[in-house]
Amino acid sequence: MKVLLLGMGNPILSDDGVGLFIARELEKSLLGVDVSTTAMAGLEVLELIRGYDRIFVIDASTMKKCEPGKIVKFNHEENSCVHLFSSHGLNFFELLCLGKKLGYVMPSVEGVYGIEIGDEVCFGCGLTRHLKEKFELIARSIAEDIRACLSRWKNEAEVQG
Amino acid sequence: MSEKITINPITRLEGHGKIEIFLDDNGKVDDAFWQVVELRGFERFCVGRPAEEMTRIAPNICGVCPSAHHMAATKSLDALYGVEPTPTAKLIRQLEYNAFVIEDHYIHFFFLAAPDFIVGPDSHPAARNILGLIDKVGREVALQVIEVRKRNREIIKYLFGKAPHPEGGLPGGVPKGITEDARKWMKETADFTVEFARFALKLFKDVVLGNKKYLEMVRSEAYKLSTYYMGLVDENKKVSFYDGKVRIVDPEGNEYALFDPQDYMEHIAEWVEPWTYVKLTYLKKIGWNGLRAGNGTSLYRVGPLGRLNAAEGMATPLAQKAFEELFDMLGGKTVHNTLAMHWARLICALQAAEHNQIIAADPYLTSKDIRNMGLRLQREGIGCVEAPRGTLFHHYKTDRNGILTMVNLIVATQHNAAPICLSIKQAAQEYVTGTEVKEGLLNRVEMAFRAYDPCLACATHALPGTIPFSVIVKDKKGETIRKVERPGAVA
Repeated sequence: MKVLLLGMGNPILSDDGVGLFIARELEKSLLGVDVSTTAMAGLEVLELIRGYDRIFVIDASTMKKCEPGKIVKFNHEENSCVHLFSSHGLNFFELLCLGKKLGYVMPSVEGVYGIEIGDEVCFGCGLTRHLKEKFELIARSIAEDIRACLSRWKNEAEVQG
Repeated sequence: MSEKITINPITRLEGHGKIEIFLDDNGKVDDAFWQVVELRGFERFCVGRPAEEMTRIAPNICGVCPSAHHMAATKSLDALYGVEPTPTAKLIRQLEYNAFVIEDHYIHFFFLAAPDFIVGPDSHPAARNILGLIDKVGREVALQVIEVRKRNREIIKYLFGKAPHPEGGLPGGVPKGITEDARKWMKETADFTVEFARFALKLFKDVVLGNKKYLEMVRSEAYKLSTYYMGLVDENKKVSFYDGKVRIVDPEGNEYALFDPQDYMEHIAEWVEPWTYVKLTYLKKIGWNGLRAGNGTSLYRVGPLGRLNAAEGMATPLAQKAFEELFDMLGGKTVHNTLAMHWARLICALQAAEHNQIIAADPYLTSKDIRNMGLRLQREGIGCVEAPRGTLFHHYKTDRNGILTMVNLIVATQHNAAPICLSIKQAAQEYVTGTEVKEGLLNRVEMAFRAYDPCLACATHALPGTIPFSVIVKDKKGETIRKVERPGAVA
C-alpha cells in the first residue's frame, strides 16, 4: 500500500505555507509514508498524487472560528482549506474524480488537516510567532493521527489475512 | 425600484472579482461592472531590489502566466542593459515561449471554456467542467490535453529550470543551450502538438460551429462589441508572440498605430476608477471616453481575437488557413464577436506549434553561442511579449547601481478590463430581466468574461480558499431582497 502525505502552501506567504513546513518536519519520522510538498493547485497536483492508494493532506485553513494553530481534520470535501481549491481550474476533489475518469490509480483521502492561520497573511519566508510557538505540537498531533491510521490499516490487513 | 444583482466571486477565474448588474425601475439591465476587489501590490515591492531579480520575482506572480512575465522581464533586462540576445538565444526563448502559449491555450479551452459549449450553457454547474466534458467526448481527449501540456512543459523545464515557474532569463541570452538529443524530442513534441492542434480546431468546428444554436450564440449581438484591437506583429504584420511591433487597428480594421514597444506610453494610458483596483487602459491620443464601445470609444481589446484582428495574418501556413476560415465564417475583418476568442485561441496555439516545428529544425538552435555579455546599464528598460491573454509590458527604471526605482506592469487583463464590463452588460441585457435568477442565464453572463480568460493574479495576490458563487439581489438602498447560492458556496 502506497501512502502519501502532501503538504500544500505558498512558501513566500508566511503562515500560508504551514502545510509545507509541517510536511517537511514529518518527512523523516513517518515510516512507510512518502512526503511531498507543493505550492501549486489543480492539475499540477495530479502527477504528484496519482499512483498512491491513500493520501493525507496538510493545508492552511481560514475557518475564522478558532485560534491560529488549531487543527481541524476534514474527511470529506470542505471549503475551508486554502489550497485545495483553484479558481482557475479544478479543485482537489474534482482532480481525484478526473484522475479516476482518466483511468489512473487515485488515492482515497484519509484526512485533510486544516491548520488555522487567521485572517491576516503577509509576505515572508517563515512562520509567524503564533504558529512557531505551536509548531511542534501541531507536527506531533498530525504524526500521531497518521501513525494511528497506519496501525489500524496494518491490523485490518492482518485480520483479512 | 432599482435593483442590483451581484455575482461574487466568479467561477473559473484566477483571483477575486465580482460582477454587479444594476437593474432599472422596469427590471431591465441598466449597467454592469466587473470589479476587482483586491489590492495590487507587486510593482511596489519590487522597488529597491536588484533588477536582475525580476526574472525570478515576476514568474512567481501566479501560476497562470509565469512564462509571459518571465519573458517580459528578460526582455526588459535586455533593454535595461543595452544588449541584444544572440540568434540562438532568441530561438531558444521563442521555443520555450511557444510551448507556454500552447499549454496555456489548451488548458483554458478544454478545462475552462469548452464545457460551456460541449456540456452546454444550460447544464448544471457541477457538470459543466472537464468531468462533464469527458462524459461527452470521451477520456481520450482529456488524456491528449494532459499529454500535450506535459510534453510542452518538459521544454519549459529543460530550458528554464522548472515549470510552471521558469527562472534564469538573462540579459543578452539564455542560461542553457540545446543538445542534438534534446532537439530530437522537442521536434517530436512539436509534431505531436501540431497534430493535436488540428484535432482541437476540428473539434471546435464540429461541436460549436456545427451546432446551429451555438453558432447563433457566437454571432449574437449579445456577444458583439465594437472596439479597437491591439497585438504584437512581426515585420510582415503577422501575429507574433515573442517580439515585434505593437499594432493597433480601429473597429473597421484600419491601422491606427504601429509602434515599438518602448513607445507604449505615447499610445496607452491608465485610468483609475473608484470601483475597481484594476487600472483601466485606453488609447491616449483619443482620451478616456468612459465605458463606451462603438463610435467615440477609446477602448481596445487584446488576447487571441485582438491579435488576429490587429494582424494581417498568421505567420505559419496551417494557422493562416484557419485564420482565413475564421474571418470568412464571421463576415470578414474586423470580427467583434467576443465568443470567437475561443476559436482564435485555438488558431494561436496552432501557430505556436507550427513555429516550434520550424525552430526545432533550425541549424542554429544547437549552437553554443547563447549569450552576449556586452552589458551596459541604461537605467531604463521596457520589455513586451504577447501573453496568452494579450499584450504584456514590463517597464523598469533603476539607479546607477541597477537597483529598481520604478516598476510598471501593464497586463492583458488591464487592457481588457473595461471591455469586459461592456461585454457583461451586453450579455446581461440579452439574458437577464428582473430579479429572476436562473443558472443558465447567469452562466451566459459569465461566458462573456470567460472568453477573455481574465486573470487577476497580476493585479492582486488572491488567497482563494473557496470558490463560492452567490447571487445577491439588492434594492437601491442596499437591502438584500434575494440571495441564491450555488452548492458549496460560502456566504
